[in-house]
Amino acid sequence: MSSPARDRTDLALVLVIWAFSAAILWSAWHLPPPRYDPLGPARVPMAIAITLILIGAGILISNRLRREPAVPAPSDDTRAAPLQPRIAFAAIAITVAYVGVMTLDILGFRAATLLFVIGLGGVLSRFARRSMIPIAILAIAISFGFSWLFAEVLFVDLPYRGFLR
Amino acid sequence: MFGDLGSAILYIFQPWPLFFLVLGTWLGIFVGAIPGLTGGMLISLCIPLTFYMDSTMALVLMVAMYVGSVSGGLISAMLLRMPGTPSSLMTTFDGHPMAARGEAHRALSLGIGASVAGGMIAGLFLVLLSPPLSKWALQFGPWEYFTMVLMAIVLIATLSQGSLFKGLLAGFLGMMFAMPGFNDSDGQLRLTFGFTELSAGFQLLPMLLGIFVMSQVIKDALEIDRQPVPVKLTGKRKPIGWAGWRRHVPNILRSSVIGTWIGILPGVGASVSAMVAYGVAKNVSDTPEKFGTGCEEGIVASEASNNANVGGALIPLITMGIPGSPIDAILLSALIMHNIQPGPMLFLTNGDFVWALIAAYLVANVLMFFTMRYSVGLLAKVVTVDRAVLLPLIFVCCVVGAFALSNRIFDVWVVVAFGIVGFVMERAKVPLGPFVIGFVLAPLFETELRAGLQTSGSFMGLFTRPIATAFFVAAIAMLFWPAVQAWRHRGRPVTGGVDTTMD
Repeated sequence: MSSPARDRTDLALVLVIWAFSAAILWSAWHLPPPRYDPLGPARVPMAIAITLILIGAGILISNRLRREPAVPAPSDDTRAAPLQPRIAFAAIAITVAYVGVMTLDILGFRAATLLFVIGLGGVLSRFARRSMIPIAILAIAISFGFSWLFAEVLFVDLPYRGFLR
Repeated sequence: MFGDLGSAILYIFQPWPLFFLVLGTWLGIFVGAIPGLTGGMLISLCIPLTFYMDSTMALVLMVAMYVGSVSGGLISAMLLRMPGTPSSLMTTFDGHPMAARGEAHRALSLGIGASVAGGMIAGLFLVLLSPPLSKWALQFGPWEYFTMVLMAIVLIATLSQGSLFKGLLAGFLGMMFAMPGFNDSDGQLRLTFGFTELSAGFQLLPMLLGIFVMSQVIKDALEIDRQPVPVKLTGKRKPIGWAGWRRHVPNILRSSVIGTWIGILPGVGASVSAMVAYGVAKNVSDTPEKFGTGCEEGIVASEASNNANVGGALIPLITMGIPGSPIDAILLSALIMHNIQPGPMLFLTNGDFVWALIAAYLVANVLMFFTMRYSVGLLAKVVTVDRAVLLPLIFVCCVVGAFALSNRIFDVWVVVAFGIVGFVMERAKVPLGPFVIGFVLAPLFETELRAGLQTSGSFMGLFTRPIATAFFVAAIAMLFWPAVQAWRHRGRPVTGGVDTTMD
């Protein structure tokens, strides 16, 4: 990552950290004072939040003062392949959808897992036929296999409600 | 001491412990050999399954995985020029050039031999140092523990390559995520923001699965096209022999001691020891210019030290309950989930368990040696396994593992959320190791600070305790040391760092 891009990433990171710390401070501020011990519930979270704000400032200041490396960090030739942000976003979206359908009781574990494995495996392999056959076999094996293992052997009910449970 | 160890080794060779040891070592090597899969990921994934196991066997399994995963990384480091685990990064610099020029068998043999030697030397330190350190730690009070946690967080932040501030950020952010839920002293609910599911705080396992597994799945999806072409294992395998090993003995001893001592430092992982040992080996070598071009000394230094780090890191975990590396933080969590409280009392209350753990570590090193020695051809094929098949399986394991913990889907969302947090942190070059250490140690930090303040009345009580004062001064010194160094070296060119975010 180039230096200006790194600085922008760091600025965004620090802003998120500051917002998060502010939310923590606000929430901790409304907690009752210590009753049974000198610390109480709020002091440690507040101290950590303030420390995070100071560290964020430290990151920004150190970026301003930073010198560029004369010798670049070692890298390997596999890094030449381009990154695939679309596939990464698709993977996150499929994952969120997978957990979402189970949360909303739309699908049970078996059906959701079957679709998830085929969907994510398909996206990662660009639905190449050579990969899709083992992915489909894997999807059936783990959706039914885990379901059986947890229900019959470990006595844990995986999400089972919903259509196609 | 040696009687206890002998009994523990006999226990390890009983059918079930031996089965779990073999399974753990093999799985560890397998996962370590595949780029993108780490030991932390494997151990986090297996924690839910161990709930149904005897505690000793569960920890035997996880220690074997730990040893195997650190060792397995050398295969892909040499054959793919892609470290299977962060700790084998330094091995790529000399292992791959050596393999590329047709000496893959020799490079692998050197790496495997150095790994087992490093592991066994660290094992010796583990056996000899753990009991006296444990006795010494019995004198520790709240201030000693409080300052030790402080020192651990500062130390790992300082030694994480890249920005000190980002290391500290990760550590304190991890601590912050451990804050929501009931406050121990008065039962007051805090920082839940209206989520009743957060009454007990974020559970450890979903956090670990998110940070170590889910974030890696997203990262692997992002880098799905980065499939390297492996170097083929050609030519006959010739044993190195004593004559070949003799010239490496000083390097092995030195690197193993470096690995062990860096491992003992709270919170510092195997990649840092590999870097330090590699640097020292280069500095003392007669031919430093050969490092990075396929030099045997580089492979030996890196592999001896990263395996020694595993044994060294177990010492503070067993004796004080302070994780020596991020993976030890996962082991610490596993111990707590199995109702075993690590710390100085562990030798007194669960002596058999501790010795079984140490014996498992020693036998796992030997098993690792034979497994890698005789299955390296098979493992060389495994390193290029299709990640499109592997990643969905890994995430489903996360889902069932997190869900099975308390039978609630909220924990699966926690996995997803921490996965995204971990991925963003990695992209922003914020190391994940300090985050996990901070999360695991935060409750101890707060509890001991509270106890210290209750007994002493004020923070000044810390300075009436010599050990606590020494830890505190060490933490402050380590915090400001990078600034002092930067000031002393002002004007000199800056060298690039090595990423150790997942260590």
